[in-house]
Amino acid sequence: MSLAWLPLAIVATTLVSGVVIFLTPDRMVRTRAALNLLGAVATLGLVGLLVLGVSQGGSYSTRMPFLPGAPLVLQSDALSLLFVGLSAVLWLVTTLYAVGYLRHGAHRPRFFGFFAFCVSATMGVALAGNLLTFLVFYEMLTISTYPLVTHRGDAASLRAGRIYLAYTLGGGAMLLLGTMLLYALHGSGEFVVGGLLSLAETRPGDGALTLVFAVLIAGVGVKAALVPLHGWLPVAMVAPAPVSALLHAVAVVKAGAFGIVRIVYDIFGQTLAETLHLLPPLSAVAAATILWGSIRALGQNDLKRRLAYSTVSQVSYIALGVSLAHPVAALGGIIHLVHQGIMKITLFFCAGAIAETTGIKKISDMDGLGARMPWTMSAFTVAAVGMIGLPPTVGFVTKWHLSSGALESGQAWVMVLMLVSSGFNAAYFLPIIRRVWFADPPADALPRPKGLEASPLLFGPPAVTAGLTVLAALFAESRLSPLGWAEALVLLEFGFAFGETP
Amino acid sequence: MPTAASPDAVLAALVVLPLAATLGTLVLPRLAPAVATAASWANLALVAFAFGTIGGETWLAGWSAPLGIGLRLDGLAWVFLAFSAPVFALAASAGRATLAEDGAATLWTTLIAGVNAIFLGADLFNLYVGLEVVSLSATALTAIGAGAAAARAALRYLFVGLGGSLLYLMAVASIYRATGTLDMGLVASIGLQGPALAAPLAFATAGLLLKGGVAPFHFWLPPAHGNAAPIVSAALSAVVVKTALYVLLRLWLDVAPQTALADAAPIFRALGLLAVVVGGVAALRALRLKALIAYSTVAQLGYLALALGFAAEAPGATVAFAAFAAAHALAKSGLFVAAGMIAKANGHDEVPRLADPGAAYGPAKAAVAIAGGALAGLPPTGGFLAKWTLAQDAAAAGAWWVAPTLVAAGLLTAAYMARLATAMMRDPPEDAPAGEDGPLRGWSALALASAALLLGFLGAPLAALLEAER
Repeated sequence: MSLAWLPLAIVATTLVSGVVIFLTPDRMVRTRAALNLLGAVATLGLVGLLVLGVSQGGSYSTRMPFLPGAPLVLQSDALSLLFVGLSAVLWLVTTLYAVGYLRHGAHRPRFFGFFAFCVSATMGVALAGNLLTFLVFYEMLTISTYPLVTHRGDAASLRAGRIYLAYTLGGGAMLLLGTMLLYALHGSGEFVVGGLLSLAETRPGDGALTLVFAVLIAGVGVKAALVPLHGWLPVAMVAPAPVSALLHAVAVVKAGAFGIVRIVYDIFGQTLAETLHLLPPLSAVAAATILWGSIRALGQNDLKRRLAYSTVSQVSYIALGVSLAHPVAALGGIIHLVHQGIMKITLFFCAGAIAETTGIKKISDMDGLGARMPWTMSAFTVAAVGMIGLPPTVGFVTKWHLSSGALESGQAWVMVLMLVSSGFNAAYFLPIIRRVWFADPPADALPRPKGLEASPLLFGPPAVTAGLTVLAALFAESRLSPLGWAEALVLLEFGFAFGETP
Repeated sequence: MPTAASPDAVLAALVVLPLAATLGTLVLPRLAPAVATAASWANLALVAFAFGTIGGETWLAGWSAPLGIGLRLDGLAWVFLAFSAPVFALAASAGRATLAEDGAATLWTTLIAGVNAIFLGADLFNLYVGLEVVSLSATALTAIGAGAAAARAALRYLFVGLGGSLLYLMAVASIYRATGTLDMGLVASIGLQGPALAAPLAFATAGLLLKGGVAPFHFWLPPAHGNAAPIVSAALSAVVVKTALYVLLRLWLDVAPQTALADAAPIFRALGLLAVVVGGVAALRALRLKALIAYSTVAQLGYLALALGFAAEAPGATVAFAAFAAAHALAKSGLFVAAGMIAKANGHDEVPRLADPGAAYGPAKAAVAIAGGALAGLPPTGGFLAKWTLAQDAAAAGAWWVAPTLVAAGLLTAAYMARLATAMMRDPPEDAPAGEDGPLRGWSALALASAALLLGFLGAPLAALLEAER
């Protein structure tokens, strides 16, 4: 059976879900939730079919005519599957959470409609088979997330939305410029394993290519929140919790980080990137971002803002891994696409559940919260431990690979960076954990309610994703774990086997 | 011809049908809005049908060149008809109340006849007649049902239209004296040189730039477009200014030798850049919604001038010209109709105070979002197709500065469109009037904006249609 339509079907299913949700009147809450879940489950099913097919050696690609000489291409390779799988699973979980979170909110058709569009754009980014297609969905992501960030419609949200648009449209413009230049210079922008330009028989001059690289990375660097292009991310915190969760874990920052991976590996390629000395500057920016994000996180008393700066820091592990030019480090970086996603979505789910149930938004008010909300705070603790990088969580798997790859390639400074960064992570997460479990609740704290600590739709999803943070680490050696996929992928990209990992 | 659909009949019908409708509106004044709307839709059907007769020519009234009224339908003409006809049809459906004003329906169908005559025109004098018909009917439409500001704007618009026509007429007279013919193909084959070529080209270009509202000749445009009824503004910015720039393109591609265009190209490029900056900055600062949209037209017309500036050396520039024209026409008309609804729902049109008009305005809000994206040139819209084509072809011709310029201009556009996006998300004040409006208008606006989006996927067929002009 030919499944060439599968990548297109995945993008279309999410897009159609969005349109259907928009057309469902505001008062039909249950119908809309049911349709939304139907879309999410159907998408997950299609993604499962795709993963199954690809793991059996299939490869699927849909081409559509677009610009003269530059088609839209949606395709499945190992890298896109990693991202598509993450998005599909987390969309379903986040939908459940958002239904609980927005039980009494206004503008729900708009919210869930743009939410589905946002997932659709993410799927398109993941499945894009060339730079032009990537650009189309990258811009669609900007447009579809703007109404989510400004969802509350008050002055603070609108201001945040303006800043968000200024950064992301600026980044989109850089990406557009880079894409235009690449197509004008080289005639195409296909993603090719090993690198389009590395494998090309003739290629443009080195100076022009270095410029194109810088422009493209600046374009995706905005969404990936590379310092100094990260300013939008803490500001966008005004968004409702499910949006923050999605933005930080799957959609926006990941699209940027994923773009860095695509541009380095599949456009330029490892060989050319090393020849042109493109990677050391990227390492430097990533390292600076990792440190700066952590330092700023330390000073935040607002829980969501602290988590936001933590994202700035953590997402750059991906760029760092890719820039170290060593397969094991690359593995650490790419796998962090998934690992950071499940950890960070857990933390934001918890932050939203706390604010929604108790009204607490500041860390200094969280004393003794563990007794009040044990499920939520347990999930939070597991994910925070993961962020610090302790076993048995996926955070450890990432840092282990990044460090050993750096050591093997003689870049010991990365080892130091990892230790310092973990120190910072501990410094801004451990005090929260101490507070919620070991400090006495304030005298005026709400008593623990009889029955459930919150709506099950609020603490169930983080419990699930927290479980995944541990399970994905315990079963990391399995071929179908995220790590297993990433290994196969890095093997292809670097063209040789490494280590003793199967 | 044995078939009912002879090219002659179709081409003639494109001019005769709207004129017949004009008569109809005069004979049946009570049914005038219905007649005008029906004629607009019939015109759309006729244009779609005419796709099969591309390449046809006909001579009205049996006279042939150099005496008769020549009409010809090539790919370029069809593309311009094809984006104008849906604007007329959907705008007419969206603005039945406007068309019910005294005389509006008559002027509307006359405008369609004039526009079709210009796009089909094969000789220079017919084009003059067409330009005058369009200019007069458009001016009168501007003044309909409006206050003193609109009347002043209309008067100024009238003088500009007459002045531009006069300059163009001087050029036509000069060419006729030198060649003895007005057929564009014949004039080109005679091969004028020196002052006999330069003088008429200069006069005609000045007149057409004035009528086309290309900066620095744009002073009349924002007040005229910003004070008219929404559907009139839609037709004016989508189609009427394009007719002058269409004639300009024809003149430089089909009449003037290519070397002349290469010589004049820097002027068009400079004017284009000026328009993009002047219009963009003014739109960013505009207080009123319709002024913002009108200044956006000034900026977008700059893209057309810029594309014309590359038509001599970059084969895709004509495709970019047509794509810019079509994308702007569809997006801007949708935007004007939707903006009219949103301003009415708000009870005012001051951009900083505009708020979400509510769930009943879903299609109108979607139209604003899609049209804004198309005007900013976001992928995958028609505006993106135009920019991409121009940037790639200009780069191939060695002009690497075009790509960053177009990207920067897109950001400027996005910046002022973001003001509307912000307004759509703003919570309405407590005392906001309860919004209600016919759903038909919102869907018409959305249909126009969606067409601007779909255009982005039609690059290859568009290029094939314009092959002859490249």
